[in-house]
Amino acid sequence: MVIIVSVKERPMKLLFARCTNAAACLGLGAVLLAGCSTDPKISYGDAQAEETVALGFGSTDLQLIAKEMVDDLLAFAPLQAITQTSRPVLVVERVNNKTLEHIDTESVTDSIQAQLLRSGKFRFVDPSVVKTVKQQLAFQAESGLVDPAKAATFGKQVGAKYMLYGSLASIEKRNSKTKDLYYKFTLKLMDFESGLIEWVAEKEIRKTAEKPWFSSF
Amino acid sequence: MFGPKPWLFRVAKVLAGVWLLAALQGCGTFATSHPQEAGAYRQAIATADTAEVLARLGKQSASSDRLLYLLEAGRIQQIDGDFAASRATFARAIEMFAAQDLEAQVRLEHWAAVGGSLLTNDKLLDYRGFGYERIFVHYFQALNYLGLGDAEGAAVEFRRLAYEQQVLEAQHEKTLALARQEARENRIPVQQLQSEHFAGLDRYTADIRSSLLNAQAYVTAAAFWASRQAIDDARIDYLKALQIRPGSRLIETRLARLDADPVQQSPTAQLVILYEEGFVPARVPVGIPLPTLDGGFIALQFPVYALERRSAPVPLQVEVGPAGTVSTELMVDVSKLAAKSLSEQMPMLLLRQTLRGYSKYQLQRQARRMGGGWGQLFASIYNLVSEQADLRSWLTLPNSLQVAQIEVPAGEQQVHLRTPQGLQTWPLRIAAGETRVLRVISTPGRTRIQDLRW
Repeated sequence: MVIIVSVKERPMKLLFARCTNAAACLGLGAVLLAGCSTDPKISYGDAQAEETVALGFGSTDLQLIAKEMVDDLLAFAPLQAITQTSRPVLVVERVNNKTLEHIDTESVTDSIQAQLLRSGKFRFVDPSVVKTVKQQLAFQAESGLVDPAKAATFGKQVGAKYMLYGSLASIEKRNSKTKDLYYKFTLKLMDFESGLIEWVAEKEIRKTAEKPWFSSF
Repeated sequence: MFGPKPWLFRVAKVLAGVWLLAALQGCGTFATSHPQEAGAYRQAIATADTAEVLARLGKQSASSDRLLYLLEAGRIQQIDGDFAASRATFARAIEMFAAQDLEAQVRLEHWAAVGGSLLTNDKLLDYRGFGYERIFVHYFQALNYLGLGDAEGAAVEFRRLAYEQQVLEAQHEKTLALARQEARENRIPVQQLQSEHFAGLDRYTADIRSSLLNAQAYVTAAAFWASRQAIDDARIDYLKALQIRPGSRLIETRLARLDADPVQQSPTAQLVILYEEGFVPARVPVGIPLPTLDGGFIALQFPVYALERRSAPVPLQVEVGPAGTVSTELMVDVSKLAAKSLSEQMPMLLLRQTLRGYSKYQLQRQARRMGGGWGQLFASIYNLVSEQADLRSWLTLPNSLQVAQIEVPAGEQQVHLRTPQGLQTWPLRIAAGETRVLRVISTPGRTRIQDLRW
């Protein structure tokens, strides 16, 4: 599936074309200047609204990828069969960033993990907190401050059966008039025991920005 | 009747208007030149007392030269070893470069500056950086990420380096063709003027194919990819580097090693020495008489490089393990690269200067018509004061970039470096299969060593 997003600057020449006489332009200028303030204008917005502030990887791309991936995984027939009788345990490996941008790919996998968990069909273990968990278990077992009968003990954790891992790649093209960005997000689910890849999905996003014809700065 | 004559008022009005235009642009077009300012940066680096110049540079966020100040500040911070601050500063410079890619085709503010510059000088224009500087900022940014232990961030910058070199080179060809076409349409003999006045620049840089191709960036990226077992990426980057530096012994050796041991299972370790020596020379002004469009002549200032005075790159001698003494190999002669960049810009510069010459010539004629000898004198003085070569360029860049790549046995090593300040020894503990990078920055009066782990 290819999602095409077009980011096109509003041509200022249209604005100028509408200024049919100098007085109107001067009046408009005065109003604009009067509206200028040195304080930044802050407001709350819809977190799901389409973000087109900049051409690079943004919140909308993250949401699009996470949603498409989760929908695809939950609709995959072999996994539906498995999740009817059990809630498999998954571990998420960091997605490899192979793009030309500094992207926090962990936030993409965090989003996918949160949505899968909320579906009630999967459970997750989090290897990034192993050190903290070990410290806490050691504290409960050894500090003498925790009732041994109620302390969590070593060796009771559940191991992951599957691993989610993948990569985010991009192709960028630009010329004197446009800049085109193509992203491909690939996610795989591997069975730890068999080494088989049980599921794979790819999501693509294309974004294009065209240079505006005119700007005042 | 006593008092100034009416024509004096008119001439004064014209000149005041021009001065006002320059002043309104908010540009220090007649102020201190950048090479003078950069002297202070270099002194600060030599004495390792950079707080004051960094504070001064930090206050330039509203300047039309802010991109240049960001480049200088990021480089100073990196030489200081403050990778986090340098990364943040370079990120802002990279953003400014990227913003240029999507700028409007017609920019009112820019054309106002261009209009103003036709009566003053190029310093009135915003500093937009040169292509080779854009390449360097990504290279240094990759080193910042490595200095902070972020290999994924470094990988992004290495990919960006390869991409930008490819795109900028293609764009440069188009810009050059446009400038030549415009010169033809305006009947400006750009090529003739270039060969008459700047033949030395072209001769000196004849062995540089393009100012946008940076072999050091490719070799460093290739060593990085090889250390991460990305053998195909490593091979591609070594091959690109070999195209820029044909016959390079170091690159040919590395390629042969990749072919012999593609999975990099050697029991030895790799020591990469990235050597940066000296400072790139500054541009200097030279006055050249240019023909005006109506057959006259006017003297205009051009930036050039006094290349005969600059010091040739000197290799660094490295002694470690059983390899004996190894010399670093020159990958980028930055002085030549900067000179090549100027040579590549020359058609555009000649075109602009010829148009400026015509504007100033017209101003002189107008002043003479209105004010006779006095008017001519005023206009000539104005020309003399306003006519300044644009000497801006990134001046904390090194004079050259060199590389050595040495296979060393695993374990404790003493790396002996014969620097301009004398012999320096760096203790190194290295594991089998590991790649370590020692970055040696030698500036007048001081040599710094940075140990980067990949």
